[in-house]
Amino acid sequence: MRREALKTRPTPHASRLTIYAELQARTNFSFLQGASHPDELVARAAELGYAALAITDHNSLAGVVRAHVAAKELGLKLLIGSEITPADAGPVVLWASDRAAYGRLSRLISLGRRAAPKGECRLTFDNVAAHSAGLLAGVVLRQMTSDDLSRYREVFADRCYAVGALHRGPEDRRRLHQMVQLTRKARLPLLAANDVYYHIPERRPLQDVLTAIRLGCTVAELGEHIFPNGERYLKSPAEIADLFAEYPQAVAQTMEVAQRCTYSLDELRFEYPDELCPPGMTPMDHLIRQTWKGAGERYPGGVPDKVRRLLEHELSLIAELHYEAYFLTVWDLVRFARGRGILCQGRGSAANSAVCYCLGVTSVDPDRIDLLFERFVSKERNEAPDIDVDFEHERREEVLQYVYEKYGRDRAGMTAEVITYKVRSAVRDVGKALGLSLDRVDVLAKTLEHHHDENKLGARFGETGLDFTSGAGRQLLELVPQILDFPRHLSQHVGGMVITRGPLYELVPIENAAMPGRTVVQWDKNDLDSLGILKVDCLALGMLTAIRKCFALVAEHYGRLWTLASVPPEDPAVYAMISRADTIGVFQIESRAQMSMLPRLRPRRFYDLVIEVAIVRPGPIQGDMVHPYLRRRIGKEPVAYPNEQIRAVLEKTLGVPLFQEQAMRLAVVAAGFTPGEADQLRRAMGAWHRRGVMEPFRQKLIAGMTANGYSGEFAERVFRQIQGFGEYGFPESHAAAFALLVYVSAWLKCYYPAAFTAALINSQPMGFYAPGQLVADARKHGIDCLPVDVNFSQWDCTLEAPRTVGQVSNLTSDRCLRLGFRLVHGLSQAPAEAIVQSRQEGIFTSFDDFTRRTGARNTTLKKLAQADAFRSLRLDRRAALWRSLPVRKSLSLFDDGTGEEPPPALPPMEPLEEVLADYGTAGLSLREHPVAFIRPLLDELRAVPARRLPAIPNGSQVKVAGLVLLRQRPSTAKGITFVTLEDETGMANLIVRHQIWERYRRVAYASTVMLAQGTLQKEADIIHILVTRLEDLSHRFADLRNRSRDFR
Amino acid sequence: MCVWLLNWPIQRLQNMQPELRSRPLVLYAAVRGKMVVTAVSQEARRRGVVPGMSLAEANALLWTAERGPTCLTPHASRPAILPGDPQADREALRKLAVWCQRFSPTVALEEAEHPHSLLLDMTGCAHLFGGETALAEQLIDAFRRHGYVTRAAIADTIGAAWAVAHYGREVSGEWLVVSSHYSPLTTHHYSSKPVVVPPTEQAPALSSLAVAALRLSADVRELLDQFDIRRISQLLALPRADLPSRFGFEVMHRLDQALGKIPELLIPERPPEDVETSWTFDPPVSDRRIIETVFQHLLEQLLERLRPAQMGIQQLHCSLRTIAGSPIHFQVSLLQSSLAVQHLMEMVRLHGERIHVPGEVSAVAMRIVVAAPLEFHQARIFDEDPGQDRSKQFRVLIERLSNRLGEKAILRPRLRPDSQPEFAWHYEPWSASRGAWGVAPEVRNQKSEIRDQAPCPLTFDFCPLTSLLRPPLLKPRPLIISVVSIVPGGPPLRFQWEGRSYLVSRYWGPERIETGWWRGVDVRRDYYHVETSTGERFWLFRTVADESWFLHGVFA
Repeated sequence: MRREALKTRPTPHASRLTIYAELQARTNFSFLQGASHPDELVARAAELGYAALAITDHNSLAGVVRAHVAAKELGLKLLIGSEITPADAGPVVLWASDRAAYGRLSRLISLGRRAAPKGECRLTFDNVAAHSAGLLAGVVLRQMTSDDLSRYREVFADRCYAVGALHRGPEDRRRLHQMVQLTRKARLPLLAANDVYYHIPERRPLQDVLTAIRLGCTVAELGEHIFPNGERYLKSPAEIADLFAEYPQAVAQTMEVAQRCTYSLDELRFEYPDELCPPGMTPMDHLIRQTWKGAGERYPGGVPDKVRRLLEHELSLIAELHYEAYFLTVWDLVRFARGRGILCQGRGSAANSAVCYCLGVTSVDPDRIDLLFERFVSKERNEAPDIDVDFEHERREEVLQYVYEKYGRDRAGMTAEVITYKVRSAVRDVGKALGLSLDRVDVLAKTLEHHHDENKLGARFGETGLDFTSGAGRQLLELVPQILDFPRHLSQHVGGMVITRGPLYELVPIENAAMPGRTVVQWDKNDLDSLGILKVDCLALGMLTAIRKCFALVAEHYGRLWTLASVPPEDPAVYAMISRADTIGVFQIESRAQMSMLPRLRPRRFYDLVIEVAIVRPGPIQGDMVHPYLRRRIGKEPVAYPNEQIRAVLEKTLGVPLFQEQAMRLAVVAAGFTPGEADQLRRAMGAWHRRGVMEPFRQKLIAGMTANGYSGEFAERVFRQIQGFGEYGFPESHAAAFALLVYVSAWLKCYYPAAFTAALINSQPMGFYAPGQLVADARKHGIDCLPVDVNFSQWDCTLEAPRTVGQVSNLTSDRCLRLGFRLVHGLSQAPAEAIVQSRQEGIFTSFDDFTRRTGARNTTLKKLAQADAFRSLRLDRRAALWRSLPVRKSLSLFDDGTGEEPPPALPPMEPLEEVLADYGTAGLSLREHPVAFIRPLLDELRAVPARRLPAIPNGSQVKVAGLVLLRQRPSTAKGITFVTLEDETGMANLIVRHQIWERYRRVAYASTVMLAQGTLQKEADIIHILVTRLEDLSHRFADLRNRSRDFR
Repeated sequence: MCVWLLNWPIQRLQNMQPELRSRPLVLYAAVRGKMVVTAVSQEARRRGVVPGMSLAEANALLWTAERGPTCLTPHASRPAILPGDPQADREALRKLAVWCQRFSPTVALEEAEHPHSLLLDMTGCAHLFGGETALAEQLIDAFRRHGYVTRAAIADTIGAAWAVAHYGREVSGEWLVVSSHYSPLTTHHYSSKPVVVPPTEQAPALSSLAVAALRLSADVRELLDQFDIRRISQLLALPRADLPSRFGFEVMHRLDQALGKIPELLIPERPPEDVETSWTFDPPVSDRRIIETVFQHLLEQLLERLRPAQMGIQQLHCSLRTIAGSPIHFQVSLLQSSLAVQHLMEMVRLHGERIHVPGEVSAVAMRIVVAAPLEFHQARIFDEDPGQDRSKQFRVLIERLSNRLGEKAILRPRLRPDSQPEFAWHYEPWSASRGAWGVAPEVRNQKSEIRDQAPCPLTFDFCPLTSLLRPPLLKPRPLIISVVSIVPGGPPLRFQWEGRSYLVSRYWGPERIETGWWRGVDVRRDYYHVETSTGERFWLFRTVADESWFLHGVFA
């Protein structure tokens, strides 16, 4: 009988004979210890017919939610616990018997985690004793003495057990005997356990590798730190019974613990805070009142009937599902932000509701977009609705501080982000553990940079010369897919805040984050979602900062007050500008890929922008949805629907599923999923690259769709798209919120270009383009840009009235853009503000006047001089620098500076040098474009100026040259790199295929100025050059420079 | 004179490992937590790698420049990416400096964080070699014969010689800048002829060179560059008074040093304390006794030098030059350092017995390889502790045997933490374990480091791995045996070994060992410790995979 147990995995039936609960198991959330996912352990335990399974991660509860979700589905009883190792006592497993005990366990772990550096836990026996009430304890029999046992027994009394494991060591019989003796002497019941590290024996090598990674050595060097065998898997109850045959009580008693623990994570649901409404009111009443009040403000002329109906409907749904607290929380944040003048905008499924519009959470008028509320707040799913709020990136911290202040540090915390192994990190760590040389591992990891497809791992390895048919290569190839998606450590989520009714640390353990003073809970967004715990994503968005700054500039200089909601909608001039792809600086649609789509899509109304935002995303691109949509949009392909149901889902997008919601609806409508299943599908998307998770869904989807008469090819496409969404999900509800910002920023660019450019530069870092390109674009639009100058600049860029009438006549704009000190590299804000301060007494009249009045330090002077900011004092760059260098002695009143002149030996700067120096100090130049200086050479090489490209016929061979503005390789573009070159006349867009990139890698990768040769491709108004040759021109500038410096 | 060893770290490595010459070679170091390329070979430079690049970028350039699958590239041209070793660079350069003392008594390394040049004071030496130029040519030639590429320059001042060696080239009587930037010249600029700046002519020679030739720091060079002051002549044209306040004193100082307005001191490298002696026989001898006497003489000389420092010899290198064949070398190793001539000579003699000396010996030499402080034991008045005496005798025995029979002849087993019994121990030369009885210290440190990192020790509960019940006699490899057991997968009942049949009366186990997959073979065994009806005890195992039985050890 034993033989079967050893050789084959027993069938579930065989093991039903013994009733057993595994009480000690680590998941891979005991980072780099456990070698199975929580759900794998749960599934295997259910398969083996366990009565219960306890998840007892090492000093952690990080994995319990995933286990809980899996166990609930399979109907397995799950015990929540953790293994704690106090510094002054032996290890002990603690199991939570009820909610209160769970809270204490969580508090205990928080205590230990907060007292130790990130990732560690420091506890003492007294700490454990202080939190012991209600917890069941299993003293782990390792190097335990009877003293230790009795210490624990004194604290836990009848809730104390001893846990022993047998792993086929040299003397298991004697060991069991010893354990029995020891526990008898201590009068503790002995429990059988297997101290599980993985769910199946096949994970043994992976566990060894994890240990090696954790200890920072190779597997071969592990020595005694490695388990001598692979017995720490989930064994069948029969096997356990066999091991403990001489003391069967040990097995039977596990059931006692399982029965005493009645706690389930479900009890944590909806612990919403209380103080959301004034005393004496129910939250729902409060919400209703605020909503109608807001509606009155939004619609001063009376609430339209459609909106009124929507509001009533939504409010009743919210009341039914008890979501009022959630909406009130979000409303509270938004109200706070608005009171401080912080621009914010909600997005997410529930955010595009009429209620949210009236509460001011979003500025997307429900009249403008037709989104069904309950499609996203579904009754069946019974989980918190999804609202993310974007705040100005420079001021989000104020909002976070408000949350902490209002609810206290005890009740608000940051959500964790579980950092998991991706192909690159997996190859790196596993490779090192297998003893591959560091440079080899680096090369391997590097080659996998842009390849996510694990099925092709072997091929990729082969290309690097690693033999993957034997030895370490084969092992790497086997182990890397196993370790993918394994959690490696917890990090801080970008903006997720979790808020609770009681103390947060009694809900989930809190630990230190990498940033000093920051803490993070042990659960991530999905975990909190699964339990229905209140969380709000407070995200930082640079564009909101820019828009707010632009509104302020417009108010100051043009006397007009605008808000996100009051910007005039559907302005044809704005859409015309967008359709020209004249969108540098505009939110979202400023990227190369977006800009190439605009002239083809030609957006004419708001919903077109929603599509534009969503379509250039990995999801639709991987699902191959973009081209069908484009063809239908321009009428090249008929729009047809298989049936009316599908029409209802896809009509808005011409029959092509572009949004996550549509893919899910399709699963319901076309493949016969229940909404609950569709939701599982959505969750599975997040983990789709884990082998096997998606496969059942795929089969069901395709089978369902083909059964309903869809082509297999269409079904496959829908599935591929769903996969794509998993990684870069972009739902319609988010796209709609973003589309509003697209429209507003485009509107500002269209009507207030100078203010818009200034606001963008003042909000850096953000967006796609550096100040240089933004300024160049502004100048192209006829805006006069003025250089940084000590007499005129502020820290920020500002608008100035033009100083001479003659200057303005040939300009379209009525305001000039004055660059600010913030553009001077290395100059910090404080000295710059000091200059502005001293200037209030009047402008500076000379260099010495400047130094005397500002008392600026040498480094500041030097930076300003190098940035050529003394022109208004009639000092050129070199002269100013010369004067900025000597250390000034204490300033005496009589030292009026004898005006020493730079020695005549200083050679004057050549124009090109000036330009290059501009680039060196500010990243941009208002003088001539550097490429202009090599134009004669370029003419000789027959390179065309960018401006002339539109006149050249499609398909011609052309050469262009310019500064490399950006190199971009979207992960979906199959290794294609987009490069943008800029010359003195404009920009040229290059497409570099992988092959070409590799051939000219040196040039492509490193050069700042390049010459590209290739085929001109025109589609709509977009011009690309499909590159066939690249040449580095950087040295030409050096030559030019050197030539100019030759003195003969 | 200044002798510049171009691209020194690369040269040094390529000279040490000639197989690196054909491969693109890149050295790196950690700079503020980032891996940065510090030196590159010609080959690597051709692929676009330059110093200062991040290692990742260099990696990308090197590997993709391969064009096509890397497995097709012959090993000989694969890039080599190694950590730089500035310490070794400096050490090696220092050795060259000492070696250069055959040209001048005063040879120094340039003052720099990473010196690449040697400075020689030739005052009073040149005439011995037939003039300055001749000396320099001989030196360059000597370097070249040893595989080193140099550029040498002679001038009145150190500064000028350095400047001209690095930046100067004389073309029809005019000094030209070879490279205006401070990038080390490549081996293309190698010249077998030294550049000579005629006496007192340093000022005109320097004036057209780049300011970098003045050995200025990067900050100052950059600042000068902003004023377009690129040549020394421009610097000289500026009002002297303006310089220090703007560019710091460094510029003036270096300028004056180069022009000879202020002196610059050379701190010559001294050869390490001489711990080598030799004796030349004229005429050559073949009598062992004579050789031995000379060895003893040499040994006494060496010991005389060690005595004041309270040091003793632990390893001693001896060599004999023979007329007929190649030189003979041997090394004497002790477990504990010693100053006793008799004891050391005995060891030398024991070695000598193993050596066949073909023909006559023309010279012998002795060199101390390792000297260590002496260990003293305070003698007790009534000290009759036989243990200590015995252990000393034992030590001497081991020393004698090791030196007579060779190091590898006297081995001792060591336990190694490994679950697989075959790998749980190994032999090591007794004399190799320095510090007598313990584990080599570096091994111990490494182990304790690992343990410190471990958040929870995984050591096996009741009995640690190393003290498991293991048979004292382990077969070098498991022997296949035939076994009868009661049930499949059960304990053994009877088995055959070496023609005898054994009946198992008691057994312990099974102990399961599953390990070693990373060695290529995943070992999966169930071990039984059995006692036979005749009272012998054996260690048997059955493989989990195919249930075959092996005998692996005997409990005596």
